[in-house]
Amino acid sequence: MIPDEWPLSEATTDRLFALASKGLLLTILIWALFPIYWMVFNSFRTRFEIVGGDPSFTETSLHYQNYIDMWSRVDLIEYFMNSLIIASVTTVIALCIACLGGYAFSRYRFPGRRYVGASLIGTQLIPGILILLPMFMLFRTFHDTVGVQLINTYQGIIFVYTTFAVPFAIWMLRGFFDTIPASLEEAARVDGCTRFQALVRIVLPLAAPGIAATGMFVFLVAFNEVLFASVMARGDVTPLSIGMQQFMERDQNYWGEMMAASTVATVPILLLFVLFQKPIVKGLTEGGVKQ
Amino acid sequence: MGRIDIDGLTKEYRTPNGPIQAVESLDLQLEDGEFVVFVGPSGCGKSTTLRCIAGLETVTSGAIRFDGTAVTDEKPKDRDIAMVFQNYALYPHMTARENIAFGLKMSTDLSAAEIDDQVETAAEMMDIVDLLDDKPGDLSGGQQQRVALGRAVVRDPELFLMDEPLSNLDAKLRAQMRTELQQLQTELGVTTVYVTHDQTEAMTMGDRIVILNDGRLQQVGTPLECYHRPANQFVAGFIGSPPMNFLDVDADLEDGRLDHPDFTLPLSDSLADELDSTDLVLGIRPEHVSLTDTPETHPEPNRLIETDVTVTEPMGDITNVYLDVGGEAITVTVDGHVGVDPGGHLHMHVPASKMHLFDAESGRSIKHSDEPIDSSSLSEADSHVETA
Repeated sequence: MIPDEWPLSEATTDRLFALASKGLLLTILIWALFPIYWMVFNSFRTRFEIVGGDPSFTETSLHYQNYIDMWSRVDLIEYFMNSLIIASVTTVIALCIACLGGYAFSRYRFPGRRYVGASLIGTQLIPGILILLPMFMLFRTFHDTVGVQLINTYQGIIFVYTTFAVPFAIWMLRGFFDTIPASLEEAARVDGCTRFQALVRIVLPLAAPGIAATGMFVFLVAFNEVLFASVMARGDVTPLSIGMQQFMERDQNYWGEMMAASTVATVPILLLFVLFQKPIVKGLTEGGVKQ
Repeated sequence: MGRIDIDGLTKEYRTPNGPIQAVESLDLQLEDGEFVVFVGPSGCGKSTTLRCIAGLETVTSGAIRFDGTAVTDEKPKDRDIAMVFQNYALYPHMTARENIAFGLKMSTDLSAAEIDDQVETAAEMMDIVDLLDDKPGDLSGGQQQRVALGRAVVRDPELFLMDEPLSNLDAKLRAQMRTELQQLQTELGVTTVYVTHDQTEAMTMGDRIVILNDGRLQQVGTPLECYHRPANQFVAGFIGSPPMNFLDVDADLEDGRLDHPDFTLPLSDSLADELDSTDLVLGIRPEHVSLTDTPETHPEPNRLIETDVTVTEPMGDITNVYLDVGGEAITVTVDGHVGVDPGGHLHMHVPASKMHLFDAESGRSIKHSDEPIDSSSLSEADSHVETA
C-alpha cells in the first residue's frame, strides 16, 4: 500500500521496485559467482601477477602453464576418482534406501510415523563435528572387535556419508511420492502387479525427476564434504576435497597451479549438473507442490 | 465367475478420535452379468465397498465370494477384475498402447504379438486406434476415459469395477459415455459394479441400484422399485430429481385425517388401520402434484392445499414450480406449456394414490404410491397413453 504523501506515481514506484529487485539479484549473483571467476581468472595468471603488489581483476597474461604444471604437484586424477567412487556409491545406496523409506512414509500409516519423520529431520540439525569423534571411536572399536577396517577405507566413508544422506533423501523423496496419485499404484495392482512391482514400474519412473534431484544433492554433498573425510578418508582413499586442502597446505606459493587444479576439478561436476539440470529443476519444483 | 456374494461386510477405520465404520454389516448378492450401481452421498461407504471388492482395502469383518470362492483376503491381482478409476489412473509415462497392454503383460503369458492384437481389438471397440501412440497428457478427458475403459476391457475380466468414472467429464460427454458404457456392458455381459453419487446415473444405468447411507445399506432394487417403493425417507429423498417433497404431519386416527398446521388431508380407513404411529412425514413426488386455480370445480376439493408460488424454473419440456406451504418449500413439476407466474396463489392437489407416508422417527416407509414398477413394453405404454 502506497502512503498518501508518497510523491511518486504507482507506475514509477513499480518500476523502482522492479529495478531494485533486479539490482539485488545482480548483487547476489556477483557474490555467488565471483569466487568462481576469481578461481578461473587466477588459474591463467603467473605467480607474480597473483601475489604482486598491483592487484587487478582483469589483467592476465593467459598463463596456461599452470594447467600443465599442476599435474606434477597434485594427483588430481586419483583424488577425483576417489571422490567419484565415494560420491557415486553413496548416492546409489542412499537412493535405494531413501526410495523405500520415502515411499513408506508417503503411503503407509503406522504408529509413531509422525515422530519418526520428525526425528529424521532432527538428525540434520546435529552439527557433524559433534558426531565425528564418536563415529571415529565406533569405527575403531568395530575394527578391534569384528576385524573390519572402516577408517581410511571406501566402505567406511561411504557408510558415514550414507548415514547422513539417507534421512534428508527420505524426507525429500517423500514429498515427491506424495505428488503421485495413489490410484496409479492401485490401478497397477489391479492390473496384476504386486505392491513392489507397482513401486518399481509405476511410482519410481514417475518420481524420476525427484530421484534425480535428490541423487544430485546427495552426490554433491558427498563430493564436497571435508570434515569427515579429513579424519576418516586419508591415504589411498583421499578424496578431491582433502587432496586440494593438502595441496594448499603443502604448496602455498603455487596459487596459479592450485587455481588451475580447482578449475579442472570443478568442470566434471559442472558438466554433470548442466546435463541433469532440466530434470533437477523440474524435480525440485514438483516436489514442493502437492497436487 | 460373475456372481458376487457379500456377507456381513464391515470396514472400520481407526482414527485418533476413535474408530469410524465406513461400511456396516453389508449383505449383498450380485448376479452374473448384472449391472449394479452403488449410489449414495459422499461418505456413505460406496467407494469403500467397491475397494473392498477390488481388494484394495482390507476387510474388518465379513466375507466376499466370487462364484462361491472366498476372495476376502486375496490380492487385487488374483481376483480377475478390472477397475476404472475416477481420475482414470492412466500411467502418464506410458503411451495409450502401453497403458492398455500393461495389464496383459503383468497378468498373462501372452506373446507380444498376441498382446498387440488384443490391444488393437480393444482400441477398435473404444474407437481410439488413432490415439494409441499418444501419452495420456496429450489426450482430452473423454479420450483418456476411453483409454481407461480400453485398459479394463482388454483384460476380459470376470468383474468390472467402476469408481465414478464419468464424474470428471462435462455434462454432454457424460451423457454420451453413459450410453456407450451401457452398450459396452450389454455386449460384454460382464458383471459390473458402478459407483456414483449421481442418482440420475444410477437410475439410467443400473439393472439394480444399491443405495447406501452412513455405511448402511438402505435399499437394493430396480431403479423403478427404489423410485416408487422407497424403503425409507432417505431413499425417497435421494432418488428422484427434483427430490420428493416432505411435510411433517400428525395422523388423527379417530377422525381419519392427516393434520398439518396449514392443511388437513383425509385418510382412508384402510390406511388408518395400518398406521401404528401418529408422527408421520408425508411425501409426494413433484410430478404427482397438480395445480389448480379453480378449487371450486376440482373433483377432490378436500385434497387441495392452498399455496403461494415463489419461483418458477422453465426447463422447456417441464417447468419446476416452487411453492410455499406454511413456510416450507414444495416443488411441483408441470407441463412446460402451462403458464405459472411467481407470486400467484394456487391450490395443489395431493392424490391419495401417489402419497407416501414415513414414520417420522425411524424414517421407515409406511405407505407408498401405487405407481407400477414393472417396465411395460412400448405397445403397452402406447395403450396406456391412449386410455389416458
